Amino acid sequence: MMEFMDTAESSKGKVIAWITVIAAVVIVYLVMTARAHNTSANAIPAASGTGNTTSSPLTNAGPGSSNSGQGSTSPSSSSSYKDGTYTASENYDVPHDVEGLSVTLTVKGGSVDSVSIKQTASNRDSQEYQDLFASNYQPYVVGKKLSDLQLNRVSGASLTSEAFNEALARIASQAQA
Amino acid sequence: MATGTAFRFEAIGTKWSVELLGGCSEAQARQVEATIRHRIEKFDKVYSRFRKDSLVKRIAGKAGTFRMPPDAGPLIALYEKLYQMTDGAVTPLIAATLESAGYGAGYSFQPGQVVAPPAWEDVLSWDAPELALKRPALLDFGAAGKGYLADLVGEIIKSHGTEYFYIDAGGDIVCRSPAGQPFEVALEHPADPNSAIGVAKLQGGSLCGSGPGRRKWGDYHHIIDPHTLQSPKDIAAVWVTAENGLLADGLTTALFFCPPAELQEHFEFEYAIVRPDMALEHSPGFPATFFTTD
Repeated sequence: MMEFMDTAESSKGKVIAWITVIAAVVIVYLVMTARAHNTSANAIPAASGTGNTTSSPLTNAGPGSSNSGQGSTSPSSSSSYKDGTYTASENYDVPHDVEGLSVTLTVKGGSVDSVSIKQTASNRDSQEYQDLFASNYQPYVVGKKLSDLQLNRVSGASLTSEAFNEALARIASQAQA
Repeated sequence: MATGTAFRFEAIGTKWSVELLGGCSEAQARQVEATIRHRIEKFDKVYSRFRKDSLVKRIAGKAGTFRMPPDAGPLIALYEKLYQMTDGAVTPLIAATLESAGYGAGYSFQPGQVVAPPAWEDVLSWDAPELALKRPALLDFGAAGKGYLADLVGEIIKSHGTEYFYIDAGGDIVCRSPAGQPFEVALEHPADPNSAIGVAKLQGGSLCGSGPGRRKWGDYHHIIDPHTLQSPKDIAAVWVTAENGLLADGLTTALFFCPPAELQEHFEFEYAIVRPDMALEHSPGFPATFFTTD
């Protein structure tokens, strides 16, 4: 992998590869650590292997526990995920600089509730690569009731007129007949 | 948020809501409302393919050269660009296809023999303000017309002295908020009108949304691919923010046919796409937070 670093044309591909590897490693650590007992919640993830990366300790801001993760130990089944919010940050080398990327996920009711990525690049090229990663990373959306959100402005597919709705209802009933 | 007045009405086949922020007397608001509704009627009378008395209906009756009103310039110019970029997929000549699929004035929604639209160069020639038709053809401006009309309504509001406003043209938004007080707009869940999949924050410009959720019948919805004569099935909902409604609305349609990256080479906009499996793709600058799960 060291050979990559010397080739100008593949430097862009190299940075994207780094970001993807690091983010994947971070996400795997987060998920694996979410399963672990409370006492290991503070474990510092092992270095990702090659290259120069530094990581901050995995922090669990779980419900009722302090940031140091020293809350009470609850009995855990072998497949349970401990509810809470987990954040891991990684720094990675880019030419002449160090950039960072942080991933946060929340575990609720035993499964991953949301994942978000925080881009902290300051260098313009790094911003572009992090943008590329963020826009290609694939989250799935879920719905929240409008009544819970207390928002009265909505945007979506064009609202239809009464005449339109009546026509659709008419053909639907014809189809059922 | 400053107090203001709001009014709602139905026009051009959809539901409008207009909010005027700041001090505006009841009488002034009524005046603005009247001007807006008159302008919308005037627009509809030119561009609607659903009315017997429209210019578009007259154009469909015989070939010739037609003098279009001044507002046609930006609208037809955008259609020309999108036609090229989408390889003919976005076209005003899609009217024939939509009508043959059942989406016409009578709202029959009974597809007959679905026909492909003719190529632009075979029928149309645009040299503002003159639109020349080599043969009669029905035109549809639904891809960008509503967003454009919302822009025109915004101009009316500003000319009446109201600086901050929120126009909702059936889910397409044109607005201007006071500094530091962006409008929060729920992004409607493609399959559940009582839910949202995120919240957008708008300072100004336009947010337009499109999707097959409402206008669908049988195997079709309101967007039909001229090359396959089928409605695209890989998008559940799409939103675009751009400087104005004309662009944002036109691009929501274009995104059914063209990858965002290609369109971004020519236009400045942000987008969000929700796939049928609820996967989300969006540009980093799209001004919303989404409710997501992995």
